[in-house]
This record gives sequence, structure tokens and C-alpha cells, in this order.
Amino acid sequence: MITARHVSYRINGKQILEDVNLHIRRGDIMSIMGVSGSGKTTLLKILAGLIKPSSGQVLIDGTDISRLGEDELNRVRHKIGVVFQYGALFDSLTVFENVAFALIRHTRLSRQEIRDIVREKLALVGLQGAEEMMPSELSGGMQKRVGLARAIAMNPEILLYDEPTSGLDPIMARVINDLIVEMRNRLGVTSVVVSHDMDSVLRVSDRVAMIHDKTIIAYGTIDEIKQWDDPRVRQFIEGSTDGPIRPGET
Amino acid sequence: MAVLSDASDSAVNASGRMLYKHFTDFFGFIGEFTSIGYASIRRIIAGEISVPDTINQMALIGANSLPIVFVTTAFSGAVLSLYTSQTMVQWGVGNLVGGGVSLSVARELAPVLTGIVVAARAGSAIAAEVGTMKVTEQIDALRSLGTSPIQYLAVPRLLALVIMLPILTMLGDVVGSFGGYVVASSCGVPSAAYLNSAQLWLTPYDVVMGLVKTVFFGAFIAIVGVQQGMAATGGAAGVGRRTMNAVVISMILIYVSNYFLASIMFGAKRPGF
Repeated sequence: MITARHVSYRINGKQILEDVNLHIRRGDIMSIMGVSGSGKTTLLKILAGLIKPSSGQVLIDGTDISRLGEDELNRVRHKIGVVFQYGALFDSLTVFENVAFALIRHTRLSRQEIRDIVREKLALVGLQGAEEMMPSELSGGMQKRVGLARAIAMNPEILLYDEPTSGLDPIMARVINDLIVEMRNRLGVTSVVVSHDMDSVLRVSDRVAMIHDKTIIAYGTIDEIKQWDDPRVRQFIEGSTDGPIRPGET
Repeated sequence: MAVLSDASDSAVNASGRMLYKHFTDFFGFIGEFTSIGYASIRRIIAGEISVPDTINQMALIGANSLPIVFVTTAFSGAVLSLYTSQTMVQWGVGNLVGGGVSLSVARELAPVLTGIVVAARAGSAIAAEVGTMKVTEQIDALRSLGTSPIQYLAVPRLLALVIMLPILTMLGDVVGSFGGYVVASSCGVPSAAYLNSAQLWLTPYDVVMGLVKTVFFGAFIAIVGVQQGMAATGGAAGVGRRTMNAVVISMILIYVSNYFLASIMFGAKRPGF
């Protein structure tokens, strides 16, 4: 479904990613974990076609999106939903207009049909009745959930989540985790979750990749990763300050 | 000696690097400016225009700029008239004041002043809004929802400025000339003489070309605002720097292009004829 081949990314003379190879199967939930600043979000944006890699390929259903022009890319993007770390809601639009954004612009649905879809998606994230609110009136967690509702409005085949549970209370984090799994179970959505929340990674993922020092250093199922003997992976999973990864190192 | 030469080497390297950075920044700007301008015009020609967004921007940029355009053009026309009236009345050619003032207002004062105040007001607002959208990932969100930032952000702002700036300038022409008229009258220039010389000197060509210049100014303000906003990085400081850049670059472009446009439009034409 999604394949990254020899992806490297360099900006302003700084190497962010180097020779990243990754394959995500259809319907899988894949978590990418790593310390802050390790390039997880950059990799997610490359998979979403928001950043072009300096070299390498990103194949989505066999199409290399790193070679597509903006208009062709926009067509591919209809099957990809992105949930941004801080929601990235359009702050001049209401919650309804945010969630309905792609529906209004890219479908021929009637106003009533759009209203029904928005209501349904908002109910899924526990925000029914928030349609007329402005993003500035919402808490950080609520903004994030509206961002999720907006990402799933077009029923995408792929959902990319950037730190979906950070900044949420434990109950809402659980709701979002369950939702990630439910989207896969109900609609067969392929998901990539970028996170450093181990609890969430272990709860939702089928497979895990760990990114460190600009590249993927471990890749496998949850059980395989737990058995992985690389001290960096062990240290990250255990959340220990003692080990090869120095706190603050990127 | 070795230390000195190392120090001077590193100083040369540092200034070389800075020069290189300015050089690449300059051409980077030209590249982005051209690419945003071209992509916007291509979408406008293809009819990919959101009428409600454009009208909204026209109201924000145009209607809300009216008071400041009125004040600046009226007082600039007035002060120009004050100087010329005093001198010309002294020389006994007070009947030429109307022509001089209205011609200056129509060709230069109103177009340039309107361009400058709109660059300060709307150019900064565009750069700040787009810049904030950039640093809060809203531009990424737009693209992830299959919407081009050029189509959603650049096209409505470009159209709004290209339409509204000439309209504002036309009103500025009237208000500036009126400001000049009031002051000239108070300096002893007869009303009829002011109006007669204005009618005699000022041709439709002068007024229209003054307005045509502002179409270019409007395009510069919009494209620079969007370009600087999209280039914003970091947080509030990054947005602030880009907002300031947008105003400075727009003003430079307005002044420089004004000279070249004027020399093309009026270079071969004797003033007033």
C-alpha cells in the first residue's frame, strides 16, 4: 500500500532522513516511534506528499507520489487523511466549515448530506453539537479531535496521525486509540501513527518502526520489537535515561 | 602571523558565506515570486476563482483601506497645493496651480501613496495571516485536503488587490485634487482658474495610466505578501520578520517599478499635453 524506498531528506545543509526504507501493508496500523527531533514528523509529511524527498521514492498503490505535480498530487491526496499534531484547524472557519472543507470543495454532495456527514464524524470523536464553534473556543484536545474528524470526512483509505494522543487526557487518549483501531476494523483504513507515547504505540499498532539517527533502526511486529536486542530500542521502550540515547540528543 | 592570517581567512570566509547567502536569498525570492505569480495567473485564466473568497478579500483590503487612502491623498494634495500656490501666486501664474496639482495627483501622488498605504495595511495582513497559517501547519492541512494554497490563498488576494487598488486610487485622485483645491482657494487662487487649468492639463490618458500602474502595484503587494508568508518558519518571530519583509519589499517594488512604468507611459509625452 505505502512503500518508502531509499528516502533521504536534506534541508539547509542538514540531513534529516537518510536512506529510509519502509513498507506498510493495506489495513495495517504502523507506528513510527523515536525521540523528539528524530525526523518522525518529516517522514510522515513525506508519506503524505506534503514534502518532496531529496532522493528516493514514495509509492502509494504503486504510484510514485514524489514525482507528481501539485494537481496530480491533489487527486491522490483525496485518499489520504492527515491528523496534525496540534489540529491545524483553519482558524478563520467554524468547526463545521473545517470538517466540511474537503466535502464542499471536492464533492457534489448536497448541503444536507454534508451536514449529516459532519455531524456523524463529530459524533465519532465525541464532539457532537460543536459545529458552530470557532477553533479558538476549543481546548487543545478538542482541536485535535476536530482535526481527526476533518481528516476522516472524505473516508480516506490511508490515515496519517502525527502524535495523535499527545496533550490529551488519558480517557480521551484511549478514545482516540480506540478510534484508530476502529477505523481500521470498520473501514479497512491503513494507518501510520507517529508517536513517542509507548502506551499508545503498544495498544494500537500491528507493526512498529523505530527511527533514530536519521534512519529506521528497527522494524517488526509488537512482539518482535519487544524482543529486539538493539540497546537503543530497549532504552526507548523502557523509557530509561541510561543507555546509548542521550536525553536531548537528536 | 599565522594566527592573523587564519583570522583574516575566516573573516573572508564569513563575508563570502554572507554574500553567498544574500545572493541565493535574492534569487530564491525572484524564483518564488515568479512561480507564485505565474501559478496564480494560470489559475485565474483557467477560471479557478472562488467568488465569495475574492469578494471577502475585496471588502477587507479595499473598503477598509478607504479612510487611510482618503486622509493620505487629501493631505498630500493639500500640501503640494500649498507650496505651488504660494510660489505661483507670487509669480503671477496662480491660474496654473490646478493643472499642476491635479496632474501630479493623478500621475504620481494618488497611485504611489495608495500603493504604499495598502502595502503597509493589506500586504502586512496577508503576510501575517499566511505566515501564521504556515507555522501552525494550516498550509499543510490545506494541501492534505487536496486544496492548492495558491488557489485558496493567493488567487483571491491577488484579484482583490488588482481590482481594488485602481478603485481606491481613483477615489484618491478625486480627494487629492479636492484637497489641493481647498488649499489653493485659501491661498488666493480663484476657484474657476483652478478648475479650468485642471481641465486643460489633465487628460484621460494621465488618469488611466495612473490607474494602470496600480494594477502592477496591487499584484506586487499580493504576491509578495503570500510569498513571504509561505516562507515563514519558526514561530511568532518568524512571522513578524516575514511580515516586515513583505512591507519593505512591496514598497521597494512599488517605487522602482513606478519609475520604469512612468518612463514607459509618460516618457515620450510632454507634461500636460
